Amino acid sequence: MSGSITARAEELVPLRPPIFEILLTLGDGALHGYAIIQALRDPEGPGLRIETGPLYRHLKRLLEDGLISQSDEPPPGTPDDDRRKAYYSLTPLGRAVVRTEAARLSALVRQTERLGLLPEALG
Amino acid sequence: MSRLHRLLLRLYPREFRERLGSAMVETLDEEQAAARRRGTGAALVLLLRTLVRTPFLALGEHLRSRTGGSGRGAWATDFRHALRGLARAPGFAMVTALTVGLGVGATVALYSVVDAMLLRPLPVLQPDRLYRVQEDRNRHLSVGMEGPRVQLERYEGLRDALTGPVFSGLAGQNNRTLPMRGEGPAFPATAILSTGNYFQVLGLRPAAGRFFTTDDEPAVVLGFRLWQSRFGGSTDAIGRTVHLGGQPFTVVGVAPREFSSTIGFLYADLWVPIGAHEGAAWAGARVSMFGRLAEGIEASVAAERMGAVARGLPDDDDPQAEILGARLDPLTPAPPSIAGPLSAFLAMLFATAVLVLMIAGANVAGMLVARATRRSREFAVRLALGIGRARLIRQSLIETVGLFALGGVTGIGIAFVATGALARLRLPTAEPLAIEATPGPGALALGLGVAVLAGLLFGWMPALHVSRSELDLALREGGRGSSRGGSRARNVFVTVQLALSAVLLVAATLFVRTAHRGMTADPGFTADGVIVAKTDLSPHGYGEEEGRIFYDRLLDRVRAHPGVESAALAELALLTGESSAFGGWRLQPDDPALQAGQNVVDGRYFETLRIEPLAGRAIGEGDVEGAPPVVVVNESFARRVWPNDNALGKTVLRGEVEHEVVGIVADGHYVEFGRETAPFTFLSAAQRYSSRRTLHLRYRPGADPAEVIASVRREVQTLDPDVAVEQAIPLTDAIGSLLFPQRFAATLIGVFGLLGLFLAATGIYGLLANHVVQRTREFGIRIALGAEATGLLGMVLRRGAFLTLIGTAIGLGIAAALTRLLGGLLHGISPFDAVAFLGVPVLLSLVALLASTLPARRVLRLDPVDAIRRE
Repeated sequence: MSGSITARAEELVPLRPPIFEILLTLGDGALHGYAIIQALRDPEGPGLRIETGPLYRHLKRLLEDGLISQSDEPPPGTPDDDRRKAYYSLTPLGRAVVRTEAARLSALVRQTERLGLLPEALG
Repeated sequence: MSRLHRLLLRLYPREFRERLGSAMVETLDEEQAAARRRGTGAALVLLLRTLVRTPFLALGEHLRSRTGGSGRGAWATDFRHALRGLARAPGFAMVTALTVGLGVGATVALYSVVDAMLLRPLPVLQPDRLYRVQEDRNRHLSVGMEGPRVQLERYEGLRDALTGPVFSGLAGQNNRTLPMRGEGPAFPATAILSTGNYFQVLGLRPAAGRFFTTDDEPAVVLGFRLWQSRFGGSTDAIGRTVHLGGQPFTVVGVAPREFSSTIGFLYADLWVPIGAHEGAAWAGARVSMFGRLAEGIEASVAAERMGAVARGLPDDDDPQAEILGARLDPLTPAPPSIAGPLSAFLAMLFATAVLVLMIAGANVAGMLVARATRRSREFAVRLALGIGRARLIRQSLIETVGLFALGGVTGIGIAFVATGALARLRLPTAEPLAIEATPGPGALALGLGVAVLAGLLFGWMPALHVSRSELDLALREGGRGSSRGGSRARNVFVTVQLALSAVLLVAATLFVRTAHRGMTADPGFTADGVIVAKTDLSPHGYGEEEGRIFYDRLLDRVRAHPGVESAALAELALLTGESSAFGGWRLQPDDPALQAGQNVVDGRYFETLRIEPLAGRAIGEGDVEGAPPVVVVNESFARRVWPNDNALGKTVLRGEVEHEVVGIVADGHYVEFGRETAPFTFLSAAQRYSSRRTLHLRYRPGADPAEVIASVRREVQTLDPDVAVEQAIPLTDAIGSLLFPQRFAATLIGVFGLLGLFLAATGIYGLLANHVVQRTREFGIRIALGAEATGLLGMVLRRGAFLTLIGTAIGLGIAAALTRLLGGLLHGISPFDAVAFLGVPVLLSLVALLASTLPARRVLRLDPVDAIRRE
């Protein structure tokens, strides 16, 4: 089973730009829609401005492709007066895709480094 | 806010809404709340962005198939599918493309005309730096079609003061019809008399040879068309000598093909330096001005600077004139005096073309819905096989837009043919006009654009119809389909078509009636059987004495012609749009002058045109030079000057000269239609010499007018081969040209209206035929149960009649609201003309009845057994 997940993940990369970032925001656990927008906007994180409409378009695709799942169960520790209608979290396939994409990207970074093209600050 | 968001969400496909809808609304609310905390501005911006973006995002979700994904492969598949669908029904595709094509063709052709006449800049160097230049003054002594004209000396004063700081060049021009003679007989050529810097200011390059650069070189630059038609387009023409008004000029060059002139749509035959030949026929001609702004100067600044110069320049020509400043207007092909009315006229025609396009669109949409209904079973099967509804919609849309695009291409072809015909059209005006309206890239883009847009607009209905295919129902019904939605949509389309056709037909009727009334109204003289021919001796150095002799001899010769009943000379032909001279009349030297139209005529004029004076006598052979000056006035003139007295025998001042009123004629249409109560006068030609005369010939019944015209030309040539005869044509034709806009509009809108009517008729026919086929089984049962076939026939006919009634009523309402805008073009016909507003509904009803009868008759022929058994 895990073999087929890896194979499926291989098929789904490379990811289009905002997709990887959206998946990453779910890395720590389930988030509701607006929390994803905020996490994306975080200057420490991706620093990406995305609005609700486009976000849900991506969420729809991710749900269809089975990379995330939707649930009305809030993550543990959520106060009762702060509940939302839906929370999104990574599926095993989603995690596999994030890992595969990360591996692909870091391979690219290593190659960049070998060529001496990596900015000093990162090198 | 939440409610708005929920509303917006409804744009999304149901499947999306069910899965993500409530969460998305919640997030939208939260996002909006956060923006509001940042400030009202931020909240507003976000709201606007959401409002604008959501429909597109929702559309994207609709187009995206649930099953096939949104990859390029799926699109290609759908495209192929659509093409295959059309290839299976080539007749349908052709009819549709042709229908849309007619609408698009009309739109593109008219846009091209608008583009050529109003939008396209002159084909010169940096046209945006060129300005029509005029003084702003309380009165102008001379105004040409292109603007006011000043004396050459004044132009030179302005040019010398302004060239350099304000204009990089300031040119002057005038236009004349000059008799031109090369090898053959003289013919009238449209000439631009220009200053030497004309071509340099425009920044043109000659097509051959060179341009003249001084004001006094006896040189001529040929227009491209004249070069082609009279000189075979050969460079041998350069260096040849031609005679203009009897004086020799050397051909030095040819103007570029695309350059006609800067005056309106005048296609110039040639250009000559205005100062060539001392004592040329046009010596003393005034000029209108245009200039190229100097580097870095704005038009408003230039106008101010020029105003200052103009005020400081004494006007010897008109010392009392008050010079207020100067005005600069962009040098556009259409002079300001024409641009306004022309754009209104063209806008009207353009609107009718768009109406035709919409009728065509509605027609095609109706056909598509019918086709979709017939294909319900196919759709149901595909739905059952698991293809997404969204995918079906997308395929349907691709098919529709493809069809309309095909129609667009057809339409562009039609537009090329139509504008080609328009370019060949000889406008019956004094000067040749240039309407080179070949569709440009803009027109082509417009054609495809409107076609695709119409496809999207009208394609939604069939597409949604597809998506509503009820699976089980369609399969059970054996694919005949009977969706209520489909027939309702078709009802709407047919009604729209009828309404729009009614609008077009009403407008066409009004124009036809105006043109007809103009042609048949009694103008106060009998134009039928009269030929007019114009000659102007002034370009030939004729003085008054020689001129009188020339015209006397010409009259003697044409009167000797066996086909001529009578011949007369007049200054101008009535009712032909010729700028009729107006004279100021007063009773006492200090009275305000009464402006009256006038014609200067000889002693045989009234007889030739069969004008019977109501009182007194006509201008006679005895009213010669030296005899007491006389005038014949119309009733309006008499009423205005002597409201309570008989005008006959009274004297009235023209300038300082007393004229005796010897006759009174009825008010007629002398100047233009609809102006019959304007004061008008006839003066004696023998008492007022002019070198310019219009010969009027009444030919005997049975004589060949063409032969009479030829003989006039022959006689003029014998007398003086340098004199050209302009426009020797029947007077009725010349009068007809005054109604050209109405006749043009009547023809064009009439064709559009009939086209619309035809489309609407096919729409009704198709709708009812489909209706009858769908209900065949029901009708069969009814007949079997004893219903009268005629009763069923009535049912079908009533349906058609009902749609016709509604469509026509809506159409007449719209027409009533719109025709008021046409008032200025309708002479003597009310915008609410009863014939139009009663006749059009009758016509529409008859056509609709005919279109309904054909399908309805099938009910009568129905064999109940056969109909019931049919599946």
